[in-house]
Amino acid sequence: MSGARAAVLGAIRQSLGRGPLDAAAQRALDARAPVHPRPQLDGELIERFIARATVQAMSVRRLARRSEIPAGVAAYLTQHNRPLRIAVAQPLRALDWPGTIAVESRAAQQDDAVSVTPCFAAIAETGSVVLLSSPETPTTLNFVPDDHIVVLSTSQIVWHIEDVWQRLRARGTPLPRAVNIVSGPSRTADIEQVVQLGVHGPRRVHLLVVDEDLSFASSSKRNEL
Amino acid sequence: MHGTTQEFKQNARIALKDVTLQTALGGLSSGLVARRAKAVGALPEFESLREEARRTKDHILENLDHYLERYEAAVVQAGGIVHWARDAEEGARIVVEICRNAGAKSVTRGKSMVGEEIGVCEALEKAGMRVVETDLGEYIIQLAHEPPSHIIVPAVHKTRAQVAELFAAAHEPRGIRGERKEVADLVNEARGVLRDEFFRAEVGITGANFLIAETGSNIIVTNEGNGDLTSTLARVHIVTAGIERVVPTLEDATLFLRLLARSATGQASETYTTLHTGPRRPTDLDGPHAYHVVLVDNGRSRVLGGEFRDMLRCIRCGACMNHCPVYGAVGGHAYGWVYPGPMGAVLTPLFVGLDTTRDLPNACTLNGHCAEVCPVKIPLPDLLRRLRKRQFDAKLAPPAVRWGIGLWAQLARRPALYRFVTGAAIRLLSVFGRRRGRFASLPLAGGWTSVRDLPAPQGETFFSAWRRQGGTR
Repeated sequence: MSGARAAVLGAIRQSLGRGPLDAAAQRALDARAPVHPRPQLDGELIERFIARATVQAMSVRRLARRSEIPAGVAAYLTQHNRPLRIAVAQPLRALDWPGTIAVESRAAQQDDAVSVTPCFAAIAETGSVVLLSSPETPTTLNFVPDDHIVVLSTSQIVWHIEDVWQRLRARGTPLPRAVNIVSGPSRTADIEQVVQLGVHGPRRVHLLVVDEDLSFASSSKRNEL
Repeated sequence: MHGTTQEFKQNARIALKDVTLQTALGGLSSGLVARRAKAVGALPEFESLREEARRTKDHILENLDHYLERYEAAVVQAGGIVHWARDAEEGARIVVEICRNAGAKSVTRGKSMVGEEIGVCEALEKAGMRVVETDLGEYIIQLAHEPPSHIIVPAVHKTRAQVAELFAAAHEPRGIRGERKEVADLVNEARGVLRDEFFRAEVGITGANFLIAETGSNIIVTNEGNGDLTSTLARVHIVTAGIERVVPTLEDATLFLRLLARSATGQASETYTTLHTGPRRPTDLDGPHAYHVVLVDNGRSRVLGGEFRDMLRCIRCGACMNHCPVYGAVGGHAYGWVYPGPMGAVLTPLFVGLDTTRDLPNACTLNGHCAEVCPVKIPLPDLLRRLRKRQFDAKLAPPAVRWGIGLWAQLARRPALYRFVTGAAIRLLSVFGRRRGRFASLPLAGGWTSVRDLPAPQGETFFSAWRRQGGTR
């Protein structure tokens, strides 16, 4: 409703005691590149990330090579007694999955128990993984299954949240539909302020942190820190 | 949403005698308050972030029209649609129209205070649609047919036994049974019930913690993941947001995110921070086909122009109410509208009007704790004082109160007269109270002495005692 738009903007300007900003003032605002204070973080980057992720109630396993990912997933399924049927994001499909596990690549369905996805980046400050929506990495995989296994390379770990924005801008394309910054399993404290995991999203989030570079994550256009 | 702000005193009286409510509220200080203190203590930069946040919000408000236009253009660029609503009624009408056009029978909702403010739920139900709240706390109070009593933990006033009863009443007719002893049982039961609703709904409505002008994204922050399931599984995603939610860049949003999580729930970051930008792309396998944003003014542009502009910095963390002794005693429902606690005591009169909200700015001890914990440094006690002055100027207080305050003002402005009158009154009271040491009742002070005794003065005023003991400045 354009009438409402004009009315709201007009009311804002009236309250500010001025008309629309001129072109020069608008350019100055658009050029604003704020650098706000960031938390000082110390220690070693990868260790800090893993420590934070653990505090956020994620389980973490380190692997040396990408070829170890399928075995890492299989071990998790056995350990937690999960069904041997997993929804795997397309970029991980090409891995050498054992014949005992049924692997499907698609958006999540209501009865999916376990998903395995790559991620775009991981943040040491908050112990979070950053997941982008795409035809190969549908968002539902991050939220519908009970168990979400996220595969990342140590080279994807950055210090601060702002480093993720830089990497996103460096892709040179507009943001995808969804950018999910996930810091652990779903939780609530809505009943008597008791913290309870697994209310709507995954009950468990497991990270496989691989020392080797993961070529399937190349769409992230890695920059040097 | 229709409120009962006129009945604050009555609401508060009932709340104070509600044993179950008092039990539930008793957990606030050990829970959210302690968690916040720990999280803030672990971040040495917290104070500098607060100051930076205050400055940044002021900059945004000073250029609000520009950032809203930039935001709108970016949403359109990403394939989304922006609607503007002057008031609550227009906002609700727009949401209903979008849902109707989408052929919606069932609508899921993530927690949104603006949604409550404009009455989205009532409007959709009136239009014949089914609305399901998906935030666990909101779902509980929806079953109880109650408004939220807290902006972060809306069902904080309910005990687990009450939740168990609500679930039994709502779910057993549908054949869902189970143990309802532990919090875990209840959470699991809700997970199962609401999972079906997520997959069934045609439209999902969420709020927005921030709108990013640079990218046209809305950010929602949740711990449960309900906002993400709401926005991802429905065919249409609607975002309702106040016009003051806009921030220029991703970096600005980050500044506020660091403050929000710590202030609201005492976490370094909430579990899910999600940026939504437009509808699903042509080759995406999931996500909504249409993405709408409803920008709600509803009084905000007016507040921008006056002495209450500071209030528009609010990021809705709830820290002020967690630390408020009045909120802690009476809970959120007593405030009678969407926003409770100190921020509500300021916002409600500004949005709803001074006349029906007379008690709210007065239900405050001016202890200042709210301002100390506010992550964007809103001077809440000052704003409450200004509202009191406005009430006085608008002649809204009862004549006796106005007369009393007027008399007091005359006295307080004349130091010599003030000393003389108070000195005489003190001497008089000390003579009459010498025997018992206190007064069980006093003329003109029945409100005070009805619940406690007034200690009898010792015979001189503070000023004279100070002078006699040789006190200096």
